[in-house]
Amino acid sequence: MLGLVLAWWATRGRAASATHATELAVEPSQAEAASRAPAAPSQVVVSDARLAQVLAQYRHDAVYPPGSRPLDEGARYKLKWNAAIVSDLPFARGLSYHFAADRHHVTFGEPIISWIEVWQTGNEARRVPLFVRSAWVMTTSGAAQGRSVSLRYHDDGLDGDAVAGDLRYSNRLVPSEHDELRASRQVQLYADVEAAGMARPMIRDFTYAARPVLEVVHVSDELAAGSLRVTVDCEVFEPGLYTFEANLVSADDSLPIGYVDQSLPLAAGRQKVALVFFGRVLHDVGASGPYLVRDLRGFERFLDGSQANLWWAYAPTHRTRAYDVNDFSAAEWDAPEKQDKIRRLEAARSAGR
Amino acid sequence: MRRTPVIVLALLVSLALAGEARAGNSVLHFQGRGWGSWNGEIVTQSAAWTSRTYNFSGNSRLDSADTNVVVRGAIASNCSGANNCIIVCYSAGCSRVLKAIDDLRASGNTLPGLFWIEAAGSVAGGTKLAEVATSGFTGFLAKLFGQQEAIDFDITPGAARGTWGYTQDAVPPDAMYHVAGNQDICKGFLFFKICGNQFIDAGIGDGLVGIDSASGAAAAGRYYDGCAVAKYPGRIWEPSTPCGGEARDHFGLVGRTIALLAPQINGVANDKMRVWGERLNYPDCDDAAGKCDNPASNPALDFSREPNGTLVAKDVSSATSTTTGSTAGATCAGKCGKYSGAACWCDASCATRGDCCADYTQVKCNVVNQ
Repeated sequence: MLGLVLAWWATRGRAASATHATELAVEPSQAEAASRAPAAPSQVVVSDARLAQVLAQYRHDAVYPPGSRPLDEGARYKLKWNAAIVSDLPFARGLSYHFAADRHHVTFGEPIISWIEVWQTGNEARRVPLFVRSAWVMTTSGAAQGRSVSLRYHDDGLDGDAVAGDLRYSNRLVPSEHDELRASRQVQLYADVEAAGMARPMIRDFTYAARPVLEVVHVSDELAAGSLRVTVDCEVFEPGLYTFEANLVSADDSLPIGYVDQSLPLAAGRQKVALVFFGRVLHDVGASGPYLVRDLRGFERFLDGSQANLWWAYAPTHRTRAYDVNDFSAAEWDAPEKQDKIRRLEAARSAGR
Repeated sequence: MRRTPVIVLALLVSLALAGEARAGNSVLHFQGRGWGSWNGEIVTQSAAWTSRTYNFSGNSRLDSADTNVVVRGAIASNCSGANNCIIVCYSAGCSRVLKAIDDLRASGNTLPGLFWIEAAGSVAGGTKLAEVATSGFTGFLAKLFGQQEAIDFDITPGAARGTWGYTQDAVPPDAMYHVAGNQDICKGFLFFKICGNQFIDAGIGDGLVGIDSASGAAAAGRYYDGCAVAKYPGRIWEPSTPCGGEARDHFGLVGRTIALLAPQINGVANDKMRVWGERLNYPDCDDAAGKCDNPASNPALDFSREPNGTLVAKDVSSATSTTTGSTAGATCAGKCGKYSGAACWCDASCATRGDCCADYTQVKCNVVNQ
């Protein structure tokens, strides 16, 4: 149905209707907005230098589609998609600390292990004893904000603490085991820590899935129109808008190749979702298969902000068939939206000359 | 919790159709933390482009109606259908823009009219200032800028690159051009001063945001060259700006970015060369001695105003917790959602637990915690 509606929309002329309701939610401030009457798009004037640059950049970047692109240097953070972003921060004169964790997104049923350590600045191995006066899961959005689950940090080598007595104090939390975390909210771990006669508040951001939303049953792959199509057979537990992401690397995991990032509405029940690694991405890297599809994950997206996004992940790595790199198309991405964008930019450039 | 596919479908269709408003070319401005409106620095005398600014609270959480209705609606309306747009975002406004674009694209709106984004001092990569706190348990960000705001929860490096990390690749194949500042912001606190860059710890900073965030760098860290750093997909260093950043602080970066934009759309900039930091001969506050929680020298410390008190944008102080008084001890000033550090709490559950600090409502934690 959605496809039909969008297809209908796409066939409509570009002439604008002045009555769309979305504009009602947007109120330009009177002093500055609409200081000039809107011009027709054909009269767009932008400096030629900037437009030439934007157009060249667009042509360069639109060799690949928006949802399937190379795992180049700027995209390799996706290979560590679930690493906690940890800041080393000043604790007191001559002391530093961090509040780290083994992951950022905690899917349903998973634990998160977090730890606190304070060390002599400049030598992270020289940790100092500390005392966690109190620690909590703090809910920071929605109803019932504030302290929700009390936490204990310990250095006894048990229950998530790797080494007893190493002055790294740990906690293992399974959010799905706590009634206080049944609703999907934004959260932080919060600790009040004392060391060397000083106290500091510390925070660790994370997300949790309050309920399971999607489970991957099977992954398969095939060549399709010069691209690598990976089909994700999954059980969807609730209808919604879902985002899927995955990385493609060489069979020995040493060569990053590409990523996919696709969203689509899904009904509840068994579904097959096609993730397309665009052929040109594989072609440009130049390595033949088999490949590994790893880091398959995603989330149910709540556009209205009524709930925090609910993440899911599929831990296994999928090994594809042994494709020859020449099986993949060298053709650039092409789509009506790309041609439309280029037309607009070229028209603006013409108008400015 | 279960919703029908029809509701989801209706929402997606409304987002996809949202570009049908009218034909026009617009420069959209989205403000950041501390402002309820744009600050007046826009491109003027551009015959073909209409500057549009929006009244929304830069203080509100990222996943709020301010982002999900106002910002997203403005982009959907002005950057698709027959409309073309250039987006100028500032500070946390860039976080909102990335989220809005990611949501729109996930909903099927390809934004064909989006020409490019100009990002001034983007905090979409987070700032350590939002994570580190004084010995009195007040966030340094809140203390330095006079107010604790709800958006502060979303601009720690962990939240920005983790919770909101999925929005970082929203831009391609379009481009976001980044402009960063390299001037610190310092403010006086009774015989001492607090400066932002030492806590931002990113190599170069503008007093609130490090160049790791402001350049669109794909990893947090210390950088001294915004041109060369590996950036998130679709992020580009503005070619006409020095690799070491502009000689502006966070406040002045808007005007400079507008000045860079003006010739690109054949307009005139009204860069007001604003500066929010002050030159002070005081020593840095000694946090171990509790001096960083002292009262501010200027009790009107407010980022929506010039240092002399002149209002530059609609202020959001009615929904923030003021930190210009002493923030030491059993006060909730600047500690909303947290522990006070002194035997009472400032989170939303303190009322039911019976352990709120006495000034919980007076310092507006009941508002900030919503």
